Amino acid sequence: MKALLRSSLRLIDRLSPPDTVHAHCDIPCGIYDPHLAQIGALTCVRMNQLIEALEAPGGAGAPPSKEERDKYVNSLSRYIAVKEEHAELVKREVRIIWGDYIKPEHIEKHKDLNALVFNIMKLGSKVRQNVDAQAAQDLLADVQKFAEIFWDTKDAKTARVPSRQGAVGGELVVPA
Amino acid sequence: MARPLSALLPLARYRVEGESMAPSVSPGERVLVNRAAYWFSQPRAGDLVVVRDPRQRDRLLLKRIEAGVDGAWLVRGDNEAASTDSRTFGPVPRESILGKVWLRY
Repeated sequence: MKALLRSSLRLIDRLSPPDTVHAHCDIPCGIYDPHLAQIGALTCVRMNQLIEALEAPGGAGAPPSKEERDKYVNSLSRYIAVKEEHAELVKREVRIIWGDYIKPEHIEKHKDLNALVFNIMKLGSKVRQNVDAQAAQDLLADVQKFAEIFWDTKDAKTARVPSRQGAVGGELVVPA
Repeated sequence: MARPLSALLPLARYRVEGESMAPSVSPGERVLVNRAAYWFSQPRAGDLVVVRDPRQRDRLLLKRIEAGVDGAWLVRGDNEAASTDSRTFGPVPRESILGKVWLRY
């Protein structure tokens, strides 16, 4: 009897779709934090610094020895690999918060949020594709803005504090 | 034909969105709601109900009655970590409770 009722209701739904009832908000864990995205962006800034500071192997006019060349290529490859990973980490973390946590009412309040996320995705790719210190700085700046919006949706005030991560400098947005 | 006929009955169909009632009701499931459930009786703790979001009147929420306080009702999501409910928006008045879930399909 119930099975018949259920299949009839499904048929009715197909003819006239039911309204939506919301059982929101977050996915089960409910824990989100833009901290990792910021660490990822800061790491990209640092990798660009290291790549820039890396001295080309060999002296003027002289071809590098195999040892010098290997050392150079090894360091450069590692910096690039970390830059790749962390730019991707930024994209992933921002995408999760935007896709799973952000609700229409947040977009309504922060009208530039979708454009900001779009820009972060594009900058993340740019940082991967190139050795571009400015793109990495821009990525960090946009992720900081994203972090401020995120905490605002939780009614948390934020502060920009020095990263205290040595030579890379930069600031992190933290809930105050 | 389906709409005028169903409009005569105190029944309403809804499609569930969101995770706050998981695992008892999952996103995408449909519920049949009895809008007459509280015409002659009061909501009781444990009832699965559709309520108007006090923060946004045209938005409907699926929640569970937790307790009655002074003629209003506290509602909660089953999945507390993923629910916005009376912990945030306080008790909901009787007239905001639209009905009780009768059947999931």
